[in-house]
Amino acid sequence: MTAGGAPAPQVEVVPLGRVNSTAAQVVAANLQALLELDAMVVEPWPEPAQALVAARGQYDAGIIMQELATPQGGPLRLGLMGKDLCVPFLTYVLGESQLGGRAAVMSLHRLSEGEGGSRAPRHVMLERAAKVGLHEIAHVLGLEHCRTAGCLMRFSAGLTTLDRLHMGFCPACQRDLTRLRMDLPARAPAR
Amino acid sequence: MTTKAGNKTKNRAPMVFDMTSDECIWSKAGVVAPRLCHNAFDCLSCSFDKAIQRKRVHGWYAGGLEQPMEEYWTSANWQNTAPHKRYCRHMLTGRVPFKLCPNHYACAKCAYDQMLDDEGLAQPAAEVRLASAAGFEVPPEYYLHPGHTWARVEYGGRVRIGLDDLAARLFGPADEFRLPQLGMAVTGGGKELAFSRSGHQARAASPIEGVVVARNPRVLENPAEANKLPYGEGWLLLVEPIRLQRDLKGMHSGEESVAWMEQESQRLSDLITHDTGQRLAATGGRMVPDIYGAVPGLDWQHLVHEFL
Repeated sequence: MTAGGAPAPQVEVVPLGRVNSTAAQVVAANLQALLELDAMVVEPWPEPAQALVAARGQYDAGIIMQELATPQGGPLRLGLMGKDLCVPFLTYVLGESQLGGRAAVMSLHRLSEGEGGSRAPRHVMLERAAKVGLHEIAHVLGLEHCRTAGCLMRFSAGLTTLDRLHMGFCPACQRDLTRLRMDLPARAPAR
Repeated sequence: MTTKAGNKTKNRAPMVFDMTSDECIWSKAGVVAPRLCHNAFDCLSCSFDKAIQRKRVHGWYAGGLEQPMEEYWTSANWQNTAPHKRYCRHMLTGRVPFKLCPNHYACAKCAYDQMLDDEGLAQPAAEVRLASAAGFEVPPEYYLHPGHTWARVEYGGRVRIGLDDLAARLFGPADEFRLPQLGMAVTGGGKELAFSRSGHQARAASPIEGVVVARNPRVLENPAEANKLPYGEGWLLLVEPIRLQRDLKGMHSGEESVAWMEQESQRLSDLITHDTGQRLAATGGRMVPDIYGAVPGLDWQHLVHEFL
């Protein structure tokens, strides 16, 4: 959905169920500011009940991404959930993406955790959300994990490692992103 | 320093786990010029040690004389060596707090040496530093074999071996381990570490060629232990290596092992999500302790073929 006949965004940030609206705006803004992608928060979708893994009390990220993925030519989509995500072989995921695909999904569920069971300050939660969003959409563009210390494309097993990452990409990833972004207009033309 | 993680396979000296010194005992005792131990303090199989014990002493030591070792021990040069420098190899490696050598470094004939070596076979595993690698754990001070087993070079040159975290989590808790008996030879890369689960069989490679000198009784009694703490209490065998330096060359250690495990994690993720035709990348979390049990439709034999 675009407002006032504006060109379609390159990335749609899709709240799935009840989601912190500020976090959604921060994620979209950072995609635009750091990845130079036109990103917009769209109308929320219902919580994806079909993806609930009842035995784990988590939602299957793979199933959600299949729902989110648009056909070639449509915008990329980043689902944003307040509930916890998993894949069958990982205890949880902060985010999951289709590598070089059409969709990704991320969760805010764990991003508010602070040290020793406390609650992290709001700005910390928002910064974490921005990092995960950038990481996942960079995957969707085709970028794989990177081993450079501090690079946003490093795998983060948890919040401690996520907090150590800079809000940016290493020079090699940045170069790749520039190249990958050039493919994008053909993939997501204005509607 | 031998305890630091790094890719020491590129050097001669193997990386020895939990070791506080890497200086040759002959060097520490002042008999030879400064020199590093290249054999994990396994003096009994050290060619340099044998040369010193067998041959005549040349000009290495003060005085530049040449004489048989038995004469050297009674010579003024040795006698003038301060007694506090005649450290036992077990003290030099930090294994005992204080012990002087009363035996002219003839470890092969030393009762104290024998006693400590025998004790060492039953010692519990020391604390292991672990790094995170895309949902799996990796010990940078271990050597990881491409067939998802590990080797830890320990004091005296013995090598402890086991399954790595990927193998442990991928195949889940085993019902049974069938390990080579004491005294049996294992071949580097040979598939001698057999385990089974619910009728499915798997054989993992021994990362090291050598002779089995200890088996983990805890794992034999309760095979699921290897799944819980694969790098610690879940070890499988202790081996006296035959060609340690050669075997270590083909393995990953230090930061390189973390990078390799991340690649393997992605390879596993690709294999699991293959049916969807779309490669996926995850952020966050750890691998579940039993991937085979958690992901429907996985083919056991295919996993064995791909990862062991």
